Amino acid sequence: MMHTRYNHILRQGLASAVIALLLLTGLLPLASMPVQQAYAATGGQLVLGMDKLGDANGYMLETVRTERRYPFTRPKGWAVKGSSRVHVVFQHSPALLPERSSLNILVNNRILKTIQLGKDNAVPTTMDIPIPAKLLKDHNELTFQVDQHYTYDCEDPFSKELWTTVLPESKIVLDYDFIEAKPDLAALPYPLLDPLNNYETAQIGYIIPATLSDQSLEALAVTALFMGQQASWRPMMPFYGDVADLRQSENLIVVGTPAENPAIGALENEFELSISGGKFTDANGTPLPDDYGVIQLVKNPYSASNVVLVISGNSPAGVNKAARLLAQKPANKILVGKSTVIKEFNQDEPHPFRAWDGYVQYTGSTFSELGLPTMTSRGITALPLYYTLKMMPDLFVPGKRKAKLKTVFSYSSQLDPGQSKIEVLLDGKAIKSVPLDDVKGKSLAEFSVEIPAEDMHTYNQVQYRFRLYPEKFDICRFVTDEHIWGTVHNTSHIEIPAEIKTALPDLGLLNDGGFPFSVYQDFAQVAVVMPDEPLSQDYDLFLQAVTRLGRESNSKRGIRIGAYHAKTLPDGVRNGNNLIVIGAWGKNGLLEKFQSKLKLLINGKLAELKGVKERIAEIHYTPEQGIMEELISPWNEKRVVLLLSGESETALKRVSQLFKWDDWFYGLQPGNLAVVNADGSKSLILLEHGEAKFFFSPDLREGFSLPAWVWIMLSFFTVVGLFSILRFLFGR
Amino acid sequence: MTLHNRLWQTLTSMVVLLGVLLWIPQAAQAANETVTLEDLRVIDVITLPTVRSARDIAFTRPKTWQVSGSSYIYVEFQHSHQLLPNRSYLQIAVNNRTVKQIPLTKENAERTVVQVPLPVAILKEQNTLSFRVEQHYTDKCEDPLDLSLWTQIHPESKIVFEYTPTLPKVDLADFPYPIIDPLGYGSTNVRYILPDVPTQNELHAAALVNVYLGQASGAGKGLVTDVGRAYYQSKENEHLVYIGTPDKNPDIDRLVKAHAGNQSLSNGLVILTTHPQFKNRGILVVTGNSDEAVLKAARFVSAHPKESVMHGPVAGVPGGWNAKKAHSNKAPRFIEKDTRTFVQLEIPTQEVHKIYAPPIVYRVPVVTDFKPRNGKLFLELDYSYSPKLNPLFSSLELRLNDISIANIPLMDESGETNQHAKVPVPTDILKTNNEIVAQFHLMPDKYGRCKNNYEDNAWGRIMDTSKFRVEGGVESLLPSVGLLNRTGYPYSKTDNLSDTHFVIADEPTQAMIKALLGVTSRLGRVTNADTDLQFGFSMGKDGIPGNKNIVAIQNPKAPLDVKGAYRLDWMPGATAIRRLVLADKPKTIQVFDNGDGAYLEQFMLGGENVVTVLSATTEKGFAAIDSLFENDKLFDKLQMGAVKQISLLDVRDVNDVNIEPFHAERAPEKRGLWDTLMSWLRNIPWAWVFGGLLLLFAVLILLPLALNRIRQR
Repeated sequence: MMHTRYNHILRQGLASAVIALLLLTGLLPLASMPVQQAYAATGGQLVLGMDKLGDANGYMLETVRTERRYPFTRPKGWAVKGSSRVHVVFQHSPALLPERSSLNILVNNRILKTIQLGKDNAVPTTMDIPIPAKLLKDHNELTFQVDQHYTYDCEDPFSKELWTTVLPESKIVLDYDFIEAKPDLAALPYPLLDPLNNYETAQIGYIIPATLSDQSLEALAVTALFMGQQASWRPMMPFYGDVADLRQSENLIVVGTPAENPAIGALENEFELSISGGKFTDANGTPLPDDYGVIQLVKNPYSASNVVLVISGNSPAGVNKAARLLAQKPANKILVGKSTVIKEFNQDEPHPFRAWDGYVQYTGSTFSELGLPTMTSRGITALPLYYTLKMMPDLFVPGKRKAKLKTVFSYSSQLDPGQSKIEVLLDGKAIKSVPLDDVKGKSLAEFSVEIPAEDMHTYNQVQYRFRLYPEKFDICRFVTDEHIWGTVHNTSHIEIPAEIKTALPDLGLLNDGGFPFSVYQDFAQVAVVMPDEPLSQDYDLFLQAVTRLGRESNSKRGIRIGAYHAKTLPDGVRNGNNLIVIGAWGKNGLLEKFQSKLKLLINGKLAELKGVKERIAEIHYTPEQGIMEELISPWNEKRVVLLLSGESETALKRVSQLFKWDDWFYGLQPGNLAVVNADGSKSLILLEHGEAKFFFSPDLREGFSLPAWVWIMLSFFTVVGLFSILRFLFGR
Repeated sequence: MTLHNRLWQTLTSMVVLLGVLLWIPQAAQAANETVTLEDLRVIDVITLPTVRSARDIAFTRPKTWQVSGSSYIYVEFQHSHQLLPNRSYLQIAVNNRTVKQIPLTKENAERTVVQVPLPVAILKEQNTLSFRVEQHYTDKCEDPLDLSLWTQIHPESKIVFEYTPTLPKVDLADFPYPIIDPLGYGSTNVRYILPDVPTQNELHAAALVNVYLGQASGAGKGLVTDVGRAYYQSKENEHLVYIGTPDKNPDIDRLVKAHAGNQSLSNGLVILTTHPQFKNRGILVVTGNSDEAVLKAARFVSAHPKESVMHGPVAGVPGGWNAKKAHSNKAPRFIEKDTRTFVQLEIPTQEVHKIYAPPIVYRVPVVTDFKPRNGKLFLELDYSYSPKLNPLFSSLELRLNDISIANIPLMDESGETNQHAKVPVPTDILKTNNEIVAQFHLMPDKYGRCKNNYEDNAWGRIMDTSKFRVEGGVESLLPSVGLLNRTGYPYSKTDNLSDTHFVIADEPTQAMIKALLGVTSRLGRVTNADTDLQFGFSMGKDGIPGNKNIVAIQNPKAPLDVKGAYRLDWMPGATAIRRLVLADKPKTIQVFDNGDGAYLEQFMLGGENVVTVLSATTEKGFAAIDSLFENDKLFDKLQMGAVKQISLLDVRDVNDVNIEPFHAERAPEKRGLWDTLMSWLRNIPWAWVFGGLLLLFAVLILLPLALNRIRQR
């Protein structure tokens, strides 16, 4: 027995020593590592504070009877535990009668707790209420409901003494275990992106080798942009990693051929399609033809709840094909199983020019066309209905013209006509109030409101606030408000007398939906140009910028973005595309070709700032400062070049952070030049006369349209012409 | 005799012996069934508010259950802490008899469980379980609407039946009972025993019987089918349907000899008997001495109305009998382009009572698009309400898909009967499957805090004479497999499926036949024929009509060649390559097929009819198609789109199965002359017309004038 134990310890010790030695000497190649037993899926805790639920400052429940509902989701990849709870912090009016006042806390219509509102809990009071795990579904609702009274006698239901506040410290705490991932290409983008996880940032690691061919680099851009589009408004943070980062307990995407990317070889044991001689083979062991694409989705061997998506092929052309099918909607739904080999892929028609989903394209749209729903609000404390009306960022509304908002609405019968009304607010400012004065109620009624052009922006928040009072309401007669409601229909319409013209260059338009790069939502006519020997910070910036542009856009077809190294950028691409140039001075050769056009020139440790006519200043350049500059392309005056640069790793990292962090990105101000410091960006406008262009794209396919004055001239000449014809025929 | 032959003989003998042993009748075994509130169509917590309220839930006692006294009602409840125990209680009643009264005390305010014996003596076929509360929070001045007055019954509550299965009464006059028991719970399981190599007529017969059983089962209850070739494959919970001739199946031969003696099989014969081992399970035998006779027997057993000779355990098809080709007189239960009454939609008159009356919910499928051609939909309601309602606060609210669309005030204090209201239904929020809620807000007139005059006899009623009126043009949404969901459109346009044709591959595998049964049970469940079933059926490439709605079941590696614009197919010759045609014809995507997907595809056939192709390259794939059609939760996931893919990786887990749309495309619409003219006018580039006129003016008038002027000089 002793002998066996001794042997075991000896073997263990020897093995540990060998591994330690290999690790120390860096001789433990990942590719030859045995695939380990998947780690047990661990869990975590999600805290949904009132800010994430939509009421950052808490919520005051007023009147005798009211409720507030908060929807929340249960992410698909979680098993929620019984220790989950609602942590409620509340206080209430000291005037409430304890025996007549209570606060109910419900989840999915089940009352979890009734709290009597007595003197003892009038001050801020904390309570933890367990949520039974089996009560939770994919979509859930937390409700706070109060019934409150200050007198047994004649009571004013709007008395200021009737209040209970759910304080901002309240939160939902969900304890969970991760569910083991089940790789299935048909479910993509899940589990890389959980459509029910609206709260946590999706981390995706891109495992990229130091050197990628142009076509594989393009595949990386297509994949990152596609994932960004899938994430949309959900936070997503990609990160760059090399083969060593395969050990990260995250969802990973590996791009490249087996020859380019050693990470693919390291995952070989996980694959359905085996690799032989550095090439993917079919079931018979025959290498796949070079132009075939390969997509595989496997479990992350180091984290049971995560997966690794492999975009590959035996040649860069195959890798490119795989990425383009992955991103091609809706054809990518053909993907199923754990692996797919793509023989042929013909890209579908491009996404139409300026066809942005949910944006007013030209003169106007119905709410329905903008993807906005019909909504109802109920009761005396009816919640406001919010609509975000988005206009294309290249729409320009000339000064004296007015936009027109036509609202289609319905309201219930038995409203007090003297007090009930609907108010419209634009960006928080009231612009119209309409009485709801038909006691029989109305269906599909309409009213219009004119809005000055200067009040319309790319993003406009319209708020409808129903003020609903039951008929003949007065103190001591109030009975119920459950039967009163107001509805705003999505047949409502916004009309904008706009022209399509935008002055470029302007970095401020980047956070207006990624304009102008996203003008084709599939990023046709956009190319990213990387240094010939990109460093990790270049790749990181590349991933952050491309993912951000993805999150700002939504292609209904495929993704057509191009990606090149500076040396291999074809002239045709350079001349015909909007370019995003990444890299430091001296690293990206393309920079030299347009440096005379730049407003900020870095020359060693000096930065030269050029003004309208002459040099403004030459100052010592701070190497930690990231630089963004947008200029009209020197090769095509209908295109722009966006330079993302910096003279140090920190500088490039800051530009990355600008694209990575929502508050930095949405803080980007108009201008053609921006410097990115430790606290965000500062924009400057440094343009000479004629340098800014009004883009009126020749690609506009909105149908034939002409300015109004041309129409008047045409009509005039037509009438004169017809008159002349008549005179010619019958006049003599 | 070789050793191999001897072994084979011994094995066969053992199997036959086992089969014979299984036939020996056994003593009836006790069984149990748990019926949850969800099974009784209560999908949420039951909240009982105000000082007095009740909720009635209907439940049945299946015909073949002898319910024992150990059956019980399991109730999980909670209530407000503020209730006064001496004046508040929860009553549990069955058929109006109180079986338990529970004082609502501080001790049982949190989640509490009680088990109450089910009063089996008073159980009938149709029963009512009632939860009633009386609740007060004060002895003094009380507000009957106070929010602290509540009791909740949790959805975990259930009825647990302990019972002994009894021998069902077997009579073809009552068919499809005992296979379909209208009083039964859960899905009905049926195993079809077919010949090893079924003929077209035998499969047609199986499809006929299955559609018939599906129609008897109805939309609310599942019909789960399986296919076998021998008796001993059947499970305890399965009814059996034998289809075929006695010469191909010794079981049928034995059953015919045992039950029909020397009765002629030449026209077809039907036998209904009970399972020898599982007493409350039925066996239906559809047979004849040829496959034509088998088909005739299937037509006979599924005839509407039932033939007079269909009684007793055995019925032979009379000589000269043929299925009637009568048109169905029933309107489909969805809105397409014609006005539909509630009667046609099989929506009964419904009445609700008291303050906080539960909503009346209508599920109304709309299979056309009203928006493109400016069609209009109106809800014309016939309603009544009680006297003594408070006119200020009583109304009938209508909600469509959770959006309030109209309020009808109930203002006559003496009540009104047969009132009529026409409500425009906003088409912007119409979907394929719509939920319309009629919510009566019934406020008693004598309500008032501190007034001891509260009485609540309010009621509201919506009559089945109400209708959905369609005005103007609508546009087709076909092709889209999403329209099959809940409606079976367009196959269900005729309840006898007279416009439908099923086609299956030659020599279908068991999984393919199972998929056929899955589709037919689904189409049966969404239709309800009043005349003989008239769908067509064929095997292989021949006999596929060009003027019917087709359902084709095929392995695309050996396609049936149904004509049409396929989006998805498999490359001929290259068996493992799946091809998806993009919008532009020559553009395709080809991927290697590893058999991890099954597919539903729909396309138009001649502009009028549709073809639905169900494809898979593996047995697992056809099993998935079968699961999709037979599993309600899964089928409800079918969304609009012309092509759907079912991922087979996790097909057992309903919640994880992916069914994804590829393309949603519209059928070319047949336009009237006016529509065509208006469309043409709209598409004229007026700017170019004006420009052209200007040019014409310049060329024809100005130029000659100028030339004339020059000449004059």
